[in-house]
This record gives sequence, structure tokens and C-alpha cells, in this order.
Amino acid sequence: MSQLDPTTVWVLVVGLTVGTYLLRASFLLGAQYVGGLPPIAERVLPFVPTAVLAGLAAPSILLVDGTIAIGLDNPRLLAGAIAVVVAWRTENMLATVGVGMVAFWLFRWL
Amino acid sequence: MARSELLAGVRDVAPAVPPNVVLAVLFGATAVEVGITPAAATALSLFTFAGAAQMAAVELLRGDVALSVVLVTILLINLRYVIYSASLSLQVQDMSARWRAVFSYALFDINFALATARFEEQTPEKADGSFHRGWYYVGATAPLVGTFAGATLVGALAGRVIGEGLGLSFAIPLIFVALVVPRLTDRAAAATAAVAAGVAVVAAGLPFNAGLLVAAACGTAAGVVIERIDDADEDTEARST
Repeated sequence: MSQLDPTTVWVLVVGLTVGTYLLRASFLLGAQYVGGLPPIAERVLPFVPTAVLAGLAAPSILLVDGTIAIGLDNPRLLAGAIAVVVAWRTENMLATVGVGMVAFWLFRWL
Repeated sequence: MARSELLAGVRDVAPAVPPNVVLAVLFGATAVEVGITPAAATALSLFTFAGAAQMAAVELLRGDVALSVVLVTILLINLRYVIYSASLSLQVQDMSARWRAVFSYALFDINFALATARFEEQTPEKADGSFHRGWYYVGATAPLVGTFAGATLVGALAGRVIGEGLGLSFAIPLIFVALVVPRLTDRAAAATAAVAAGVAVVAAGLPFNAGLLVAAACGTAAGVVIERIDDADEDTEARST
């Protein structure tokens, strides 16, 4: 286990709690201060979660020890590819994660 | 009586509880792997209730990432709540600040979808108490958050026992895959994901994991640009026919 010190962890908890509450309350409690959602925000915001999540997932699947590993010896890549197909066909979170993990264990063991 | 409306919320949200419990167990188990205590993990689930952002925090803390970058990244993932807030606020702007503070707690994809759909059907409150927006929201939210926090604690305690041997941490990128792939319904969304993924891999070596923020900015820009091009094409087609 890595050594995160307790202060860091609780700064994270408080920061995420306060930040997330402010985002959720932005219009519900602050509509009179923030006005309406500007049109540019309406165009941009829907793409942000897709970009962040894709940007998080790709290195975890494609990189081994910091270098790109495209080949049959990368179990994460093989399992990730299978998970993409399952997610596309079923749009089911549990099926995607379940099949992906079983594939990962299988390829790692082979 | 607020009770019938509370129960209506509980009934509507029930199908969403089991998958949420599985996610929470995975979050708890992977959180203790990177050194988040079970108490802190449970607090995160209870107070922020933002699964994807919590998973992202674990994934980032696994690498040696500056805390400020972790906070910025997870708040970026949660930016969609601003859209939910703006949308729901139109339906509840006549309610008290106290109720609007309740709506601001744990507003999430599922209870947002349920609440806006129901408030569309009937509003405002009925005198006999058979319909109340606030209690419906509480009913649709409390079971989700309660089971999520409880399952996080179970996962965290179990994670301390099973350790890292199973490679459970790989479930996190798989969850991101499950969240992203169904959203790829048009060219703009596909461009967003492809550009963000490509840039994130290439820029992974940047200090403080800043590569992710660069990737998110490039992916978002790609999506906005492609959407603009496609919208313009549609306009031209519409005019020529």
C-alpha cells in the first residue's frame, strides 16, 4: 500500500465535498447571483466528462510502466478491448466491468 | 402526508440500487489500496456521492499526482452537475431555500432524471400531500446514497483483507469504459473521446499528471468543433432541400 498521509486524504474529502456541493448548488441556490447558463457553457459542458473519463481510461489500458504497449503481452489492452465491445453492445455497466475483469484475470494468467 | 410521495421516490429508484452497490464496493476496495482509510472513503461516498469522480481520485492517487491536480480533475468530471442544477432549478424555483439546499445534496444522474421527469408531469404540490417535490427527491435519493455509503465501507474493509493480488484496480478504467462508450452516439462525442484518449497516452509523461488536463481540454475542443461543423452541414442540407 502506498503511503498517503491522513492530512492529504482529509483535504481531498473536504475539497471534493465542498467543491461538488457548490457545483450542484450553483443554480439551485445561486440562480439570482449567477444568472442564466451562458450559451458557450451549454455547448462545452456536455463534452467535458467524456473527455476526462476517456483521458483517464486510455493510459491505464495502453501504458505499461509508462510506455505504450500494443501487443498480445498486455493483458489490460486485450481485456480493455473486450470491455469496449461489451459496453457498446450492452450499454450495461456491470456486464462491462464483469466481463472485462474476467478477461483480465484470464489473459494475465495465460 | 409526505409519506406516499417519499415511497414513490423509493419505488422509482429501487432498480438503480444494486448496480450502485457493486460500484461502491469496488470504490471502497480500490480506495484502501491507495491509502485512503475506510472512514475517509465512506465519507466521500456519503458527502460527495459522485462515483466517477471518486474513482478518478483513486486512479490519480495511484500515480504520484499533486493534490491540486486531483481536485481540479474530479471537479471537471462533476461539472455536469452545473447543467443538472440549472435545469432542475427551473422546476423548483418557487420552493424555499431550505428545500433547494436539499436538492443540491447528492444531485446525481439517476435522481436528476427521475425528479425532472416527475416534476414535468405534475407540479406544484397538492393540498392533500399526495404530491410533494421535496419528499419525492428525498425518497429517490436517500436509498441510493445510504446503500452507496454502506457498500463503500464494506468494500473498504474487505479490500484491507484481500489486498492488491486480484488486480481489482483494473475495474476503475473498465468503469470509465462503461461510462464513455454508450455516450459515443455521434461524430462529435467520438472525436472527443478519441482525441482525449490519444493525447492522454502521448502526454502521460508530463509532470503532475498535467497531461490529463491537456487531454481533457483537447478532447472537449475537438467535440465542440466537430459539432459546429456537423450542425453547419445540417443547416446547408436543410436549406438546399
